[in-house]
Amino acid sequence: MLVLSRRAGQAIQIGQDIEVIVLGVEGGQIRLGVRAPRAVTILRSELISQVKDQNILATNSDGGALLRHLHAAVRE
Amino acid sequence: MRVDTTRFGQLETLELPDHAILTLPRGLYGFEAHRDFAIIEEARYLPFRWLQALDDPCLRFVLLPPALVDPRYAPELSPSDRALLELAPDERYDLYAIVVVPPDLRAMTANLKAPLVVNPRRRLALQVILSDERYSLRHPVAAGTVQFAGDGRAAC
Repeated sequence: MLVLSRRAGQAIQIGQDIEVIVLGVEGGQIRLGVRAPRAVTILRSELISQVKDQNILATNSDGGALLRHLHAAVRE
Repeated sequence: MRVDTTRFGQLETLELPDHAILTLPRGLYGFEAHRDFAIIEEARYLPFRWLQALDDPCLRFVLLPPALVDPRYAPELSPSDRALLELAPDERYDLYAIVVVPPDLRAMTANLKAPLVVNPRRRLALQVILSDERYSLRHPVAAGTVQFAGDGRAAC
């Protein structure tokens, strides 16, 4: 991993189109600004693991419960 | 095409039309190895549908139309998502929310943060993570159009 030290107001450039700017440092938090083409998706990394966890919960859905409820709804 | 599924817990084999078969070029988050899926749709079970992996009967997801859960749902697709789905400008696409079904259906939630987007013409699909802060990973389904009676039975 490339490691760089930057101060507030300084930036790094990734490729030709992406710039990451350190807007400020306060307490334990760093505020970042990202300049990138609209086609580039920018997400908080933890969101991806949350989506994975949610998919795992979804594939363990209770199929039997859903069937009973659907048949109850059809009979009404 | 014959497709094995455990959508209701027990193994069953369904005969599905070719247009039900989809490719997910990136798989689903957490299940990246699986690329070939089918959407199971039967009139009597609508609005519920299932996304079924062709190579694993146990890998299946319950789907609901997100507009049933949140009538104002209008996510924006990025140009790169549109390109991966081979969508022409202004071309129609289908949206599905992946649902978690607990034993008590009243606690059912739909993932509006990371919907499944389908290009039915090219039979391509993608799970897209939206940066829009309004949408939740666990949106309560019972709060929308799908209602559950006191004992948890579904009535749409």
